[in-house]
Amino acid sequence: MAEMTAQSSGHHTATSTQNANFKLAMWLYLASEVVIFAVLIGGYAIFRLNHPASVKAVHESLGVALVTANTFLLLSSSWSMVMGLRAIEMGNRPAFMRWIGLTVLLGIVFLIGQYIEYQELAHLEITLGGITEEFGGFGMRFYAPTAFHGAHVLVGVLLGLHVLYLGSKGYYDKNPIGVEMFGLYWHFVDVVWIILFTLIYLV
Amino acid sequence: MADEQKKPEDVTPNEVAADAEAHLEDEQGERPATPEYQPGDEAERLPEAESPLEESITAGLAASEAAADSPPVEAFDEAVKGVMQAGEAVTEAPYHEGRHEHSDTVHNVPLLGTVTVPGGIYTVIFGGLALLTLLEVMLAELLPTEGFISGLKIVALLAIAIAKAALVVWFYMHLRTDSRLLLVVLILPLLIVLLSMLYLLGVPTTGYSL
Repeated sequence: MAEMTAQSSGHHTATSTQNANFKLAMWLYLASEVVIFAVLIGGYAIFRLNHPASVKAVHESLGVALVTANTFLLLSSSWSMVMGLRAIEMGNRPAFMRWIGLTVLLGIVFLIGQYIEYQELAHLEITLGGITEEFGGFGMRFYAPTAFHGAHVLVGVLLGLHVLYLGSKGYYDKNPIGVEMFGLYWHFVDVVWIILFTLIYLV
Repeated sequence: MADEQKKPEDVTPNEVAADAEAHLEDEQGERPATPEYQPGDEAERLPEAESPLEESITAGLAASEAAADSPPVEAFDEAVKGVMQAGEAVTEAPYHEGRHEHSDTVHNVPLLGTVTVPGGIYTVIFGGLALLTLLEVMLAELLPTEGFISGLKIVALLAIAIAKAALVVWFYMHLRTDSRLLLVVLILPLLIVLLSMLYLLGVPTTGYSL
């Protein structure tokens, strides 16, 4: 009996150490993303400082209604993500499936919203390489961070579907670290959007 | 004496060990390991220095012995202990076995006090994020875009955005309870990249305009 207890506690500690290492690895990966996004955001901020008139013209043409709705979608998806993690940690697999399903759905709707927004920008002839009199070189500074972010949301949606598939098989019932790592990625993408939304659309 | 007539290959390791142990027991009873050693002599022998060098070494050892209990040394020891403990806290922060707190009741919420909602702290944070976003959009739309107020507005908006990002990192990404090492992993590259950009902005341009 004593041996069994010792064995199981040994296994417990090993899982705990492994989980901590997984999390550290995920954070190190996110650190590399921090550098990439910081450079893209910095590039936009410098453009914003040097060409306030171009940015103002874009703001007046575009409005904030659509992008505010999109921001709420992403904030809600972050909430449903963390609620999904909470559910699986409490051993409630059906609730976990619903919450992560909602997260993925909100991510997809966000991408549709971004597609609509890009179409509006295309009508304004704001393109990646184009420099117009009214908007200057806004396109390049705008599309680089937002499209790179959108690509991250797309990857997040695919990861979410993968997590849903594994979760449905009971993969996370004993150790939900995989869900938590996906959550770290998804929340990071949300954090980037929080900064982008304010810096690009509001300031 | 039957043992002695056995061929060496017939002796099992266990028999060899038992034989050795029996001899050891015999010897222990008969003679001490170093008969000439007297623990009491040690203290008397030490101070008998044969050269000035030995004398000074002995004096130095005695002085350091005396200083070991002095307040500065003890304070230094405490400081080292504190640093070691902090280091352990960084590398071995409790992981809670992958489980976080799951209470629906949250205490000390600003403006509201104790709140009970499904999802607990996560839902409270979501409410805060939504309110801050609404506040941001209202500030951006209602305040003027020119002049002194616009400058203040930009500072306020960026501050709110950073506060929102911090809330997500702190509560949803669990840095509040996780190892501080993870916070360092987040902040360090951010600092390096910001300092690098500031440095590059200070480099004279080569005619290329942003």
